[in-house]
Amino acid sequence: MERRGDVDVMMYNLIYTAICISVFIGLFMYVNSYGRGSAFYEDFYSKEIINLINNAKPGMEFKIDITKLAMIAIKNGKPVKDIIYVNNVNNQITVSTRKDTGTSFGFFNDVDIVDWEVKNPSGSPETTQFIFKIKEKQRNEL
Amino acid sequence: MNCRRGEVTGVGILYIVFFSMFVVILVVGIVGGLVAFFGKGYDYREGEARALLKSVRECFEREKLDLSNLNEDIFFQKCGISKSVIEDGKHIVYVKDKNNKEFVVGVADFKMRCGLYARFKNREMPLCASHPIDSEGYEFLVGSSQNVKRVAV
Repeated sequence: MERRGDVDVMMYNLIYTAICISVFIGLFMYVNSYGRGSAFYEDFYSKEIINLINNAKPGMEFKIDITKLAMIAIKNGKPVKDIIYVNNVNNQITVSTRKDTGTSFGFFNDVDIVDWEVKNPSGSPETTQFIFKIKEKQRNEL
Repeated sequence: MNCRRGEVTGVGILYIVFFSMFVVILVVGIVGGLVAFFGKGYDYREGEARALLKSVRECFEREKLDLSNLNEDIFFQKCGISKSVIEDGKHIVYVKDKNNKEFVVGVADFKMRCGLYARFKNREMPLCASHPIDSEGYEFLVGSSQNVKRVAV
């Protein structure tokens, strides 16, 4: 009996598997390249900044080098001045190197972060700094 | 004679093997991609707990707080600690004096979870910092399970 179906079925499966492997390898490389470490560095810098704020006293001023964040943000098409956002109402810092998402973390030190900005003293992203001052929070007396 | 060229012996097993490989590749690809994209980041729970412990201890020493007439509002205002952050379900501040009077803000159950072994690997559980009874007779326990949140900007 002629049974050519078995060879055809096997070839079909081999080709199907090869295509699947190619697709997922490509998918993995795409996700990896798209990330560029954005999530990792957002996480790292948000926690480092929060650590400074939690240990700070009113009157202190900080300048933090965030060149790595700036380089990633530029590759993702994000404006450098929008990398870091401070929310004094909810005591949160948001670090974002991507256009639509970011990483947020809260600080327990009940102070206001004032005069905060991201700037490039030399004009290039390789010297990007995040500058801010700590001020006592304005609150109503009990 | 039945001509059944569609049915071939041995191909069924081969098909299962190939299908299993496909599933494994699918899972590895998705998990690997998610890990590559999101990552885990470094663990700041203990660092935050230590900073909070230092802040609370300094406050009790500076303000000479007495647990017998201390409430949450007085604590947060005198110590300059954010109420919204501590009461977000991811922190605990526990103080006990020499008369065994207790003061707790945050998640009271963290007092128990601070002793669980699973807390080291499970980032949903708190890592804690404590200080035994000091010269004023206060005992402190502070914990944090705060992790970063992905937000839309």
